[in-house]
Amino acid sequence: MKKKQANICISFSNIESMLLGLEQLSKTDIQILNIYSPLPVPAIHKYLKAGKTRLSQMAILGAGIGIVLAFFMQRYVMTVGYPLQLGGNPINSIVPYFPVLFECMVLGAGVAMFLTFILESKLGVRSTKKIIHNKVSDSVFVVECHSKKVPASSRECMFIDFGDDINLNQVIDEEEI
Amino acid sequence: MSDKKQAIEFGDPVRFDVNRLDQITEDLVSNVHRKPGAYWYLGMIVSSVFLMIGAYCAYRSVYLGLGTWNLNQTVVWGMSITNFIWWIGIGHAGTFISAILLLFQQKWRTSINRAAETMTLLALLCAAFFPIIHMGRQLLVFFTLPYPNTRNLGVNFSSPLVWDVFAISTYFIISLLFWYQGLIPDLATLRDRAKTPVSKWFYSTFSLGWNGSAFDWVRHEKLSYNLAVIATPLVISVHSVVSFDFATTLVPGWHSTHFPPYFVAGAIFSGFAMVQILIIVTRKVLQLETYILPVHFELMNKIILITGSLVAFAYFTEIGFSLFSDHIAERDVLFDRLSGNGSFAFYLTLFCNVLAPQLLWIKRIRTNLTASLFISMAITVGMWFERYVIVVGSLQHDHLPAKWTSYHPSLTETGLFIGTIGFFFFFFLLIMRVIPFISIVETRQTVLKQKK
Repeated sequence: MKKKQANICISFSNIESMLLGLEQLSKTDIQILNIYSPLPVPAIHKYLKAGKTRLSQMAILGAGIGIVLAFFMQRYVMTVGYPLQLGGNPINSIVPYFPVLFECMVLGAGVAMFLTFILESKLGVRSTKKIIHNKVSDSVFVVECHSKKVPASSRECMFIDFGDDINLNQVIDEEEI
Repeated sequence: MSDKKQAIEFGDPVRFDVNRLDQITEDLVSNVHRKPGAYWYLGMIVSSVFLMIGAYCAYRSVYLGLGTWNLNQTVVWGMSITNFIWWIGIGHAGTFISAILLLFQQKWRTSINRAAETMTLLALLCAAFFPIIHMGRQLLVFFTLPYPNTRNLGVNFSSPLVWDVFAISTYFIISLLFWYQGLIPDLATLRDRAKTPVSKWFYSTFSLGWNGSAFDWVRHEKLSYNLAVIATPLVISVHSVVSFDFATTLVPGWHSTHFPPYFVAGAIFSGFAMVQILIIVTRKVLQLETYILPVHFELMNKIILITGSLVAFAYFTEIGFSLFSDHIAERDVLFDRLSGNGSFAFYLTLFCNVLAPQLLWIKRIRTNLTASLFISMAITVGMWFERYVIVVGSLQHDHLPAKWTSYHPSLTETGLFIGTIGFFFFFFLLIMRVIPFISIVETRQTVLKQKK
């Protein structure tokens, strides 16, 4: 399915106004595509399906890889590569493997989760993600919306500054353009 | 319901005297944008001198060898292993504050977690330095890693020393990821406020293109909690593994089953004391009185009191083990600690770690910053001497009376310790000029919650 282009961007100066604005927007035909904020917005799931992530699955996968690699590494070193013989008896008990197994499990899970976070969020040193408003990291909240009534030819997101006041009529009027 | 009752109900007694998000940002980035004060320069000069002393002693240790240390055939682990355990312990509070307090939803951690996490990373680097330099041939440090080689030698996975390599490396990497993921949104704030090309480049590079999208925030929060979940057992495991270095040997004074909980409690105890020292000083220097409140110190002091009580209990358990185990070597070590040539260190340990923290039962002392600073300094010193008593005190009074000897650190060994203190404070002061001292995002969240 083709991803919808944002054509209205509404900025708010505080979270309370934004939550009220979101409540009102959710009752209209205008579709909320994304919210940019200086802090995680509580109850965001009511307005946006933003909970999809594979972090937990990747953590389990990473932990599994860590355990398997650690087990075979220890088993190889202790019994095949460089077996230790004490009084003619080999030392290859599995119990002493547990600390390293645990550490490698945690390491695998942690690294896997961090990499998943970076990849899913498309973050990186050369990231080309758009910064919608240079005050989003400070105190401004921006709601990115899509309205069918705005002509498709309009490529740029139309910016509407609400500040503290929520005037939804302003958005609806703009849609009539 | 009164405000006080409400605070108790939500388990969050911290209330900041700010309302606006832009004011929070302005206040918390000020340490980066403002010119550093005289105290900062003074701190940098002193820590640079310490660092240079350490560098010279490291040069002597590498160039002339470990003959410059006062180790002998009985005391094979001296001051450097004491320093290693002390620094590892200091590094414990960071992840405790980040992970365990996050899982318990203790919002008061907000003001102290950044400093504690930074402290953890630097303390681990300082700790790692000692086993490496103790090897004598430092370039062969890679021998501790398991890899196929032509020497027909592999590492012994039954040895706690090898477990230590894995535990500390894992702890460092997970702590680094935890610290960095929390820092990304704050770096984005600094990126959007950067004025010079160098700072723009620096913050753009390290903020990784963060744009505050709701999708990213959801992942970010989930990552924080998941990392906290896996870091919590890690905190417990790392110092337990360090304690196995001693507990699995037959040396009297070391061979004991109570070492893991004793070491973990001691690590959190000393770590919190160090965090408190850093926070009290930085609060004054960076004028962060709005965000670091007396209640933070009271809560930290309560944790110090609890962990201090556990440590005191461990001391008395150890004495009980020695007296009632009917093991002559164990008893001899105890009597040597009480009346031998290392008794000064033992009594100083008891004074600093058992008696001094008892003052924290009094609320007026718990909330007094000067008193908290002095008690924390006493604990930090006491915990160093505790490790000295464990490492040196036990080794110099081994099973064989013919081997009994004494040990005093040489100037080179002392200089190395001073050097790591210089390294720690030099980089701590430097990092605090580059990143916000308090997490901006978490402060915003706390303020938002208190508005409700």
